[in-house]
Amino acid sequence: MLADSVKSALSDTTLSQYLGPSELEILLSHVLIVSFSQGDVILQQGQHSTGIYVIIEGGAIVSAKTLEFDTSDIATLSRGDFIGEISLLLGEPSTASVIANNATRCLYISNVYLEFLSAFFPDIKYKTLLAIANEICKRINRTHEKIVDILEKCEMITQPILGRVFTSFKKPVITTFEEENIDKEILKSLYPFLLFDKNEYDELLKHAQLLKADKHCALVREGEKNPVCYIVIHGGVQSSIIHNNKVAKLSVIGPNTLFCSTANIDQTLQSKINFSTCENVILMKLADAELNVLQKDHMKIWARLFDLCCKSLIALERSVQKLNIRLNIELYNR
Amino acid sequence: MCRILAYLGKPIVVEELLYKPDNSFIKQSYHPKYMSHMLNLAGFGMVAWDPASHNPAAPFIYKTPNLPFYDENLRSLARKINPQCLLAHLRGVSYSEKQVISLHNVHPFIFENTNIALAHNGALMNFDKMKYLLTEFIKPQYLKEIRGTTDSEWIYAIFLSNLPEQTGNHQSDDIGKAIIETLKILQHVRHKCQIVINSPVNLFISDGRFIAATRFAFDYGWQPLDSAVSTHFTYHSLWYTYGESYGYYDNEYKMKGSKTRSSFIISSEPLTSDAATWISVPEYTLVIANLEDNQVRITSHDINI
Repeated sequence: MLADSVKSALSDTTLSQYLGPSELEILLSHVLIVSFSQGDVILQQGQHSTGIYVIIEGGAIVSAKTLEFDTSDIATLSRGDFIGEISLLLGEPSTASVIANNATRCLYISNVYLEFLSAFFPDIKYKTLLAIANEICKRINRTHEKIVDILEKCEMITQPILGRVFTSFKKPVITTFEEENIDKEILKSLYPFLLFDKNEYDELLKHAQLLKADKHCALVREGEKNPVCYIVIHGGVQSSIIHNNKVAKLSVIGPNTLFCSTANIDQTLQSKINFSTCENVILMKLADAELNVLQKDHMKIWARLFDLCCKSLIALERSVQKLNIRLNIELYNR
Repeated sequence: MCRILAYLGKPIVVEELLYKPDNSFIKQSYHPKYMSHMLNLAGFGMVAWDPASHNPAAPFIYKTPNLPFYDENLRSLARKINPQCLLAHLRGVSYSEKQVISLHNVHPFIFENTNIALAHNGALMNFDKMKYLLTEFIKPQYLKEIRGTTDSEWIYAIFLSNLPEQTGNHQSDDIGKAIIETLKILQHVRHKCQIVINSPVNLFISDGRFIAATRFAFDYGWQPLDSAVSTHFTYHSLWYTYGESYGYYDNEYKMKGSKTRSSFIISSEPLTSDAATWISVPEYTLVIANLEDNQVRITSHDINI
């Protein structure tokens, strides 16, 4: 009965769009239902989240201490919204507090249960993360719009034409581990490769392409629709937002990090972010077709890669939010 | 690894920054929250400018190669001095008998007849190879002032050599250009010496009226895959916060939230565990804060070299 009422509460929510009825049944069989009264703190700013809450009844206010105000409300959450997902997936303290604004009930998917899903029902965990990642991508795009608005109005230094032409001509080239003097065994011992067992690692390498690129080489451009993942081995990659030749830099992705664009989550959400090299780089590329093969034939490898994609998008969301704040308080590149 | 703290704005009792917050600057010498595997035990230094003091353009200077958390004199001074601008540095070096721990290696550096100080968090890998080639970029009057063994003092001498004036009121543009020129010289010499190893260069520069800080690294992400863990094989962190005044408000140390920007702190790590009101400076960035009519104006530029 409980499951029925929860299932009906979840109808039309992001989670139910991704999970089929039987998958939802499995998910609900091990989650807790937690109730909060008005004013209860569901998640405290600065604390680590130990699981993910999904609102099934009621609502909550997201508030945060910010630079210019002691505390301000930044969002309102309602049925179907996630709470604590960013803190949990990144393993970092929450950047905001979430407070119930009336009697509120939530599903609580603990970290332990997510690990259990990962081992026994990887497809359910993947779809749960996909629902979360979709929300993250939408938030990235909404903040991107605000940033573009600011860039439109402000008098920022524009990128020189020569630099743009130069970047557009540069392309990464295929290379080999031997040519770059990279020991596969040593690489296997480093993050994120150590997440895979030996067979998975060997399989991953079969589907990956080793690339090298000079500084200022575009890897993912705005408007990109095809999913692609890169893992940085040496060097750094800069993410940025470009509008009217004004470049606003987000953050640098360094060695041992996987990154992808929003197109990896939903191809209708074209990438709004540009990724280009900011140093000479050695990268591992997993192209669209190879990702499809891994998803079809090697679910465990795919699921781990998808976890890393989610983390990369969360990091991207944080960078986009930070840029939005900085553009409002600093005179950036003026 | 080192730790740096810079403050600009309303006069503040130095103890509020050095000792009071839960991640206070002095605590960062023996219990840093970031990069906690490396302590900062090779000396403490600070320069502080107080407009109400005798000869206000010249800073008060305190340096010691000893452990600051055992320094009673420092605590007493920190309770007393009330500057408008402060630049403080904790030196952290590898635990090796080859390291030179001396007063001459304690930052911030400020040469005779100059009114501008520099502190550095980072390391230029294989710096010994670079020294000879760097001499041609340093004016003789600064070259003879180098007394210590750090790469940082050489960076300072190059920076001064690229300023249009030795003393006086430096314009933000001149400071920014001299910093970029300094980085370009270092890049050029590294290239000549074929040095391609990750080398972070977070510089903090001040003359009491402005603070300039970089978050930068040469050849980021390039170190041997099997190299031992080094604090310098990464990008060093840099954070800032601003507001009406820094102090104990609502049962915690924080910047008092306000549209007024009369106080500004920029440092290697936030002074409190709760970093909610701190902003992390992105990589390859130069931040300059100026004090104009008791308001701090913050500008930032990408470092594209």
